[in-house]
Amino acid sequence: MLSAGAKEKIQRIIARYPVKRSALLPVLFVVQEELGYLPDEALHEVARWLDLTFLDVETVVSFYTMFHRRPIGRYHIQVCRNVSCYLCGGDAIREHLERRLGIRPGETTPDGRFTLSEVECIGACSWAPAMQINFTFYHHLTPERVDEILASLP
Amino acid sequence: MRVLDVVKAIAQGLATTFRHLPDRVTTQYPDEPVRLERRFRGQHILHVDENGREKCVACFLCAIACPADAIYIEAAEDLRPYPERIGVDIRYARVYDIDYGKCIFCGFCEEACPKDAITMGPNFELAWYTREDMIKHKEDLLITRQRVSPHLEIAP
Amino acid sequence: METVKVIINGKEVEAPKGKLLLEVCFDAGFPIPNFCYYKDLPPQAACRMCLVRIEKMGRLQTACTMRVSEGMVVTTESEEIRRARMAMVDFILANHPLDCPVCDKGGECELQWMAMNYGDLLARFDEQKDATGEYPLSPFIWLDPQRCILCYRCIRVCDEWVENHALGVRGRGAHSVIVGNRPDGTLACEHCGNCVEVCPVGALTSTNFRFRARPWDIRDTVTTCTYCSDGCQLRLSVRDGRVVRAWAKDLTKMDAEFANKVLFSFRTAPETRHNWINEEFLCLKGRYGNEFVNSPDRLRVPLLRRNGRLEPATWEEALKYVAQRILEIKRTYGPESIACIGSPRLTNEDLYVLAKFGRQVLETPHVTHAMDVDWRPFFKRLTVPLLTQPELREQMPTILLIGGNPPEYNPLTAYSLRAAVHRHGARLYIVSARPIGRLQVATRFFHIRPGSEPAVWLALLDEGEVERAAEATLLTREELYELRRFVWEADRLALLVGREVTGPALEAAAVLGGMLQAKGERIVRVLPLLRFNNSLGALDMGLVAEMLVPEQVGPQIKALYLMGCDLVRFYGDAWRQALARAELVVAHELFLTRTAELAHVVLPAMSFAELDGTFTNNAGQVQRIRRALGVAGDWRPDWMIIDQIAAKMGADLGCRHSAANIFREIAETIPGYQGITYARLNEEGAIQTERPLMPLEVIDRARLLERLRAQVEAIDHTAERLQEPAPLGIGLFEPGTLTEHVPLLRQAFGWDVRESVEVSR
Repeated sequence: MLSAGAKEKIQRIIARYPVKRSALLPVLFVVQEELGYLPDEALHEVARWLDLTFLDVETVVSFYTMFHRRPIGRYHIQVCRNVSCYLCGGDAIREHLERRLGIRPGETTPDGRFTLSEVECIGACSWAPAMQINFTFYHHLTPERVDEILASLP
Repeated sequence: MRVLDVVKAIAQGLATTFRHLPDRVTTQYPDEPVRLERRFRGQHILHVDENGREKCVACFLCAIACPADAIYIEAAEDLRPYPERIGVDIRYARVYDIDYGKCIFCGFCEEACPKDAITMGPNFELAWYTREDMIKHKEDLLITRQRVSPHLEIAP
Repeated sequence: METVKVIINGKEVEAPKGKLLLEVCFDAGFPIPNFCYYKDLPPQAACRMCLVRIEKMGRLQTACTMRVSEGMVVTTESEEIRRARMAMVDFILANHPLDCPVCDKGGECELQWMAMNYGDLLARFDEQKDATGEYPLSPFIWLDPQRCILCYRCIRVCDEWVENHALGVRGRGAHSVIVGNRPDGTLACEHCGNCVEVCPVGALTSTNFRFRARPWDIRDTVTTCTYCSDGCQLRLSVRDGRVVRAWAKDLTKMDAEFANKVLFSFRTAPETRHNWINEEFLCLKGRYGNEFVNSPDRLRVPLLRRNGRLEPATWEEALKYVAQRILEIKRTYGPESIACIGSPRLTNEDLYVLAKFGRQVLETPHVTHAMDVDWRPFFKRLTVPLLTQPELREQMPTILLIGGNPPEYNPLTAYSLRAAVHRHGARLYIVSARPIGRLQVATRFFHIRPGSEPAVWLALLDEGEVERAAEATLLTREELYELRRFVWEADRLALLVGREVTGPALEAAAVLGGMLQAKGERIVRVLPLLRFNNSLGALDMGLVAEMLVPEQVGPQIKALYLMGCDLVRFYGDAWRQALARAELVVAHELFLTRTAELAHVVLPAMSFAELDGTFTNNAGQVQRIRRALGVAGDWRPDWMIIDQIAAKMGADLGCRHSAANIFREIAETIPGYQGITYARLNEEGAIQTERPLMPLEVIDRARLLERLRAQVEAIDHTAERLQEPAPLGIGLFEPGTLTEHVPLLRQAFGWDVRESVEVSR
């Protein structure tokens, strides 16, 4: 299910670690990058590569919010809901996004473009409120600024 | 003089006796109800909650608190949802026996109960012909099944 | 070993460098409260209950992960620590339900104890708790996620002790929940229940114990397991005349106050030691397989065949009938016409009395027991002492297992193998015809042709035979040389012999140790993986005649005295006709087995939970079994039944009405048992018998090699390797004479057990 390039990349990652298990997170990132999400079959395969059980892999995946067990939109919007952002109006940002995209946190727009989710602290307290789209930070948000950002996405 | 003192003392004593003669101390049980204090410790009552579920969760604390070892419980599981089940929790007493041949009516069971499921009731007519009859089961003790004896009244 | 000096609460303590601070404190008499720490498991630091102050370190440190170093100054009790602990308890209780009256753990719960001792009077969290229900993870194990405090003990035990890797934690933070390895979150494992036992709270509970008893209304009796030959120790908990659970938790490793005040207060005298050979391990059968003793199907009165039907009789009638018929048969056909067959499940005392009865009263040579593998040549030629489980775990850096499937048939041995690898990095080589599940810790695995184990022994014995062995086993020459180097260069070697090894190869297994030791200064120990709890005891007690074949019954054997052995089940249906041909079949039984149905007299015997006695495990260690239950039927110990029959026949077997007296006689007469008494067994736990070792010079090794070569030649050289590992549960989940009467096992595995035959009353 993976491309030859990804498989090669994974082999290189595994070779980097003295203990195979240590390669779990980077390997999962490669797989997710390739497939967009982590289906059961992918986890089985990762477990086989790393001499782990499916349960080992699955519990790790379930721990991190950055891993997705279901397909998500092209842009994954993660709005911080932790204390600093909350106090600076993070709630309003989330509500604005909900209205604008017509979805609730955890849902994906019908065109598959956006997935909205709430996350705990993303380490941007001093620039609150903040959000993250895929791996890019956006901070000092206002509803207008959010509109601008969404419009600027390719 | 001494004789007079003696007669006087007797008269005084008997006066007290005669003064109390009109008082009625004997209760004409069973024709009349016995008057009990509110904290009287008689036969146990097993309680149910407002929806009729048995409060007892069979934690066995009363059994271990009992100094006479008069309580025997077997717990069981009832996984049905609350409206259908027997007790308030999924754990309930399948068997709850109190042996009145052993019970000393100390009330420790009532103190031990974390669920207020057992209290000492007012019923006091605990006499049977066989030892087997002295063992009362859950069915006899439940508040829904137990009738308060007509031969008693509880002090206000 | 390098030691360091640390100061704990002002007291100077010397400890091995690198030992966990928590353990050092415990040994120094300053127990530290904890949940997630568990002896022998990798540190987790999940509960943060063991916080201590170490000077020159900024924050409070977790004692369960801190290793001691020179000059450490530690404070374990202070106002700061008290407050920290109080906060931790409060935090743990934040979502813990206060349903102690319902929870099975109530009364022996570590969290209850901690909350009472270290917690605050009032909780600061008054938010609604996140309530979830209980649900079963397997037919044996229930989970209440709300009670879980996420100490990871169960997960670590599952990984380390039994290698099932069946438990994990899904989610994070407040939403973490223990899950099993099936897609729906249930468990696919061997259901050993060790996770339930280590659970500090009532999150994991056992189906058979659920709601049945409270710690304060059960009595525990320490006894020996009645299944495999490893001989685990266990406590049988009895409530109201019924066995409700078996457990093996080491209570001496817990806070002494907790153990003495709470765990032991209502039960038995406090245990001062826990030198059990199985530490805290039990398997599926040991933990969940004991309730056959409660079975309503147990025979309760003697049965006598009258007019072709088995009918209840009094003991007097039954015993008189047996004595009379045996005397008649002995007079008519001679003593050789009677055979005594014991069961390797019975106690040494029973078997000794049976052997004595057979030899002295019946005067028959046919005194034997039901055996699956004939181990007699092995023990006859033994050249090195047997290996005990503690030795295997702690002292053997090189271990070779040939054949067998310990996780299924000898679970304690499998546990010890894993422990040896985890604790001191032992190298474990496995030679097997089938991949063995749940022993992934092995350093090397040699996959051989089915049935070619003798060739491996041949190659180990004689370097010149490597070529021949390579052909037979499908291993390469290099692999065989590697095995040889492994064995011949080891300083301390443990040899584990599986049940596939037979005949001359078995003798080779017994002799190899002596050859290695003769080569130089080294220690070799050997562990035969016998099948039943007292297989070795049966051999020791002298039930060593050749096992009968069914054809002998009728023409040659007229009477069979069967003690607890179900021949029809064990050896197959050929015995049905054989039993029908016999003139007298006497059976001691717990249940009306297929064999007992055909007997003329069935005598109800006592189970291991009702008896006093001893078992001898596969390492030759004698261990006590103790009476845990009162009398619920008109049954008697096997030895007593024989004693009474002998008395009716005018003989005195010298039992003098007690198992202890019989054991005294065993200690006087059986080699290796000298000096062992019940008092010593109670004191010391397991005592290893000294086995007579055969000097190497006496053994004709050339002849042995020749026979071994012949055995290797006879191997089917066309057979292919078995690629599939043996299925999970091939040994553990199979019904047996005892386990099929355990309702929980029957339901869990869907055993189709035939209905018990109605006995006319």
